[in-house]
Amino acid sequence: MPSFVPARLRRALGVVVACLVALGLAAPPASAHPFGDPQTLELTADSEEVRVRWRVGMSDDVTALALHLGLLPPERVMLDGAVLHEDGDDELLAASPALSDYLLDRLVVTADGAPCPGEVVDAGDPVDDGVLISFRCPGGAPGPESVNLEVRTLIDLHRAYRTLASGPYGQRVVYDGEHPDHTWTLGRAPASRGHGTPSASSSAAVQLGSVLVVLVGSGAAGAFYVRRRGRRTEVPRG
Amino acid sequence: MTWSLLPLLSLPTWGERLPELVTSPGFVPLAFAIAFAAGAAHALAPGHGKSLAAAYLVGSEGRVRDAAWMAASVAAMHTASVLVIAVAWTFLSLSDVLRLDDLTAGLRLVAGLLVVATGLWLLRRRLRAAPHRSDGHGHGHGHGHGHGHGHGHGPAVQTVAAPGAVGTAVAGPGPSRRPGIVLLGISGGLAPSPAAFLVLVSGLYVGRSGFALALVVAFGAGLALVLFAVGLVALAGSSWLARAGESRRALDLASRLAPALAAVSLIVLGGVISALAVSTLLA
Repeated sequence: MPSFVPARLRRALGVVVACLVALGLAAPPASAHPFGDPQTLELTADSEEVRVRWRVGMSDDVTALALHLGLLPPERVMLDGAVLHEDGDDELLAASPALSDYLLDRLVVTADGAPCPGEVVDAGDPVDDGVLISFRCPGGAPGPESVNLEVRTLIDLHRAYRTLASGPYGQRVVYDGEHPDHTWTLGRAPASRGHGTPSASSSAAVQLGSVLVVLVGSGAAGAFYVRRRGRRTEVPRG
Repeated sequence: MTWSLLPLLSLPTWGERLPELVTSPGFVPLAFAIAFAAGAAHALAPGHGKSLAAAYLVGSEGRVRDAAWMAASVAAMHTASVLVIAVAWTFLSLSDVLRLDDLTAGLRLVAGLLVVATGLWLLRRRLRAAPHRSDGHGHGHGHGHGHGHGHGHGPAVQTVAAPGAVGTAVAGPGPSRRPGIVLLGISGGLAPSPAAFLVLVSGLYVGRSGFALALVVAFGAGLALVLFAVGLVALAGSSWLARAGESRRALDLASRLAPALAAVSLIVLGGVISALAVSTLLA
């Protein structure tokens, strides 16, 4: 079998491998969370109440939260720290008052600085349908022009958790441990339109399209350069 | 999942830092460096097609540019996969139609079947090429003489050699190696990284989708670098095996069997990936 790796590249290979080994040693361990739906939240409101529908994310997150709330025995955690979802975990969590207490403690709505008492209306399916929580703010109709919603769910399990939240007028926001608060406009369309509006979709299309054009252009230029260089090196041989 | 142990670690992982970069970019060049490192670290974790890439490159007697093609294919497919799924999830309510974990299992099934198909194709090619290499001289002989003429033409110079012919390699039909590489690349990049997906979705949510996509591209570049390095290691290893085999019978046998074993490995690994995906879908 021939040596398919030229000597110059073999030397470069040594450098690359050394760099990767160094990176592997220096890098913190990779997160083991599998790919799936992230934690989400939808906020809607009318003149009487503010409704929040919270979805936990993946089934594995149900099990992790149930363990955290003490609803599952510690033996469910495997030796490597992993937890696996099992049938019945969803129902166990949904039926527990601990889930309602947890959510009402970590989802806090205030209007004009005054807290809006919450009540879990439906917790039947934390994964697909989500848990519906109703908040009633003081003052009655027509309801507040804006509310502040604080979200601290799951970040006590792990700081990497984020909540992707959407609300009226296409408003969107990402909650995390560093940004647990956001003020949502309810009464009228906000001056700066939300990121889910048609204009936001157009903006996303323009931004993504620009990056893709740059990528394709760079790739084409690179391919052209390589081919041209290849032709130049072939000519003297001919 | 390792939620119970991870809080014990003081440092956030590279992947965990990524979504923060979208909401709080800080020094932008550093953000790209972190995204690149996160991609490389992601590829260093178990899986991600490294063994498949190595097996294919050994099995097809690939070259450096084949390793580059494979790495680039994985990065391109991964970026495309993240982009399509993130846009569909954000703007088309993908999760109302299909849960992402089910989608992932489906993608893994497709990826596994692609690997099986590539392995079968490679094995068939090896079996077809076998009669042409019965002269007993192996690779070293033919290629050694043909060095001056054969190189510089890329993978396409690989032609089925007549026994003892000068200036030819014996791996089989040359241009046909590229489709297998691209297929494996697609297979390796089909299922997106959770961190990269979350980066782009976060970017779409906060109105920084262009920056987020650029970070995903940097992530893919890091991923590609590791796969390229793995490919080079595999090629260097197979070359060493071949050179050593010229003087040792056992190693010679190993170097001869390596391509066929690599093809079989692809079939087995692809079958395992497919079976695991099916079991997830049926669970």
